[in-house]
Amino acid sequence: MKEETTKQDRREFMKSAAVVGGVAIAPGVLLHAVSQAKTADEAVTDKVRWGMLIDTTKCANGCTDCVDACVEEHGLQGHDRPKTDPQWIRKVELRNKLTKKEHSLPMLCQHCEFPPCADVCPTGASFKRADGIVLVDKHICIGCRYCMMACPYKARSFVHEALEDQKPYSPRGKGTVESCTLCVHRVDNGEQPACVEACNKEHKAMTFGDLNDPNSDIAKKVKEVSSTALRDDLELNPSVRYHGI
Amino acid sequence: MLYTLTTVMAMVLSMAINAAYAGGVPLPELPKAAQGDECVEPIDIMRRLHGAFLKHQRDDTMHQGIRTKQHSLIGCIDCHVTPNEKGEYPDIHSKQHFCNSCHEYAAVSVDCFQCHATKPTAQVAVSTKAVAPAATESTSETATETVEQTQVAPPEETASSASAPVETVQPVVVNEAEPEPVLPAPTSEGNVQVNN
Repeated sequence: MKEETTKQDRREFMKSAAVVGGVAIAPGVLLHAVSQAKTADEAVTDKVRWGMLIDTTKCANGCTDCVDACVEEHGLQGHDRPKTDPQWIRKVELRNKLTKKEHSLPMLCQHCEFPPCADVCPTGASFKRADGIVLVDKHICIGCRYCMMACPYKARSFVHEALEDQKPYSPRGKGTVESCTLCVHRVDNGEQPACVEACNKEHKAMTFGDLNDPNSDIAKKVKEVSSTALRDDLELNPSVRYHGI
Repeated sequence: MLYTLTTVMAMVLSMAINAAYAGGVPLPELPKAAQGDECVEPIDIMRRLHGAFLKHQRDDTMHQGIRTKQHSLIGCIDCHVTPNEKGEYPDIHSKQHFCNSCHEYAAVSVDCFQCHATKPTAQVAVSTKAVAPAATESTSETATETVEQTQVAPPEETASSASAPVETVQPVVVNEAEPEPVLPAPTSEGNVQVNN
């Protein structure tokens, strides 16, 4: 009896060891990288760089799915004052003067690698997270709006009035500057930004993912299709790239 | 002279504190939390240090993306801000709001809620869509009752743009005390089914 049980135990052990050996050849080294969403208690690292590729050939004139989704997700309330209303993403319609070709594209915070907003911020509230997402820390923001002046893409908005009923994952308050967060609360949970999700329902012009991960959709696409960064001359290396303009 | 003054003041203060209500400011009656028996930290530590916990957590969350629930503001709100029996959440300026009840008493203003939501993330499964056709009478009744309950009843909430979801929460279940509406109670999908 004893002999049999020890033999079984040994067999089971060898089986499990083989499985473990198949996946990990050394502690911490995995042969097959299991891509998981970051757990809640992990800090973000620069191993990941979140980016977006926008295919303007698929972006439809007149469609505002991304804008509507953003407004819904973050509870952005307009006051019919386009100059001062919050705007985290907007649709820009372009027309080439010579060829008369029309284009449409969503313009959002480009999450530059060298963000001018973070450079000029006197308090350090505007900052770039390790994974590339540029954020405003509203606890620190004093509302000077220097970042709004510095941004070449006019991505930032100032909150002029006291707000009520903010969304729990999108705190916004009077006297601070805000901008597209790349839906950081969703991204940290392994989801996609609201605009990308909305666009993917119909036109599928927006691709989101990890630019540093060679297996991600976006990394493969960026290798295949030609894409440009807006205001390339400024050499900010934005995370958002556009194809077709 | 100074000695008598301080003793008199100490006596008055202790009287005020001992009596829950002695002509001074009434002690806050904290609403009961929704889940569990204990807070994430012992109560005496929480009383003094909840501000410090939140301030440290917010830096971790913003700059490192650490979203553990234990010391997060959302974690506090999810547990401590509870709806009343009608499913309505208390206004931040009312004494029924957990945070405000103590902060108003202690006269310590915090600016958290200038930016942060005062209600939990996961709303009680209530939406206006479900009650829209049938309960128009009950809607107006609860609207007036909301005014009584909360000290500040922002009228712009009900008239706000449709982009914001439910703020003043309407109950799904029609109150038994109210007369049965002509249409049957709506189903959870919000469709009104006519019985044959």
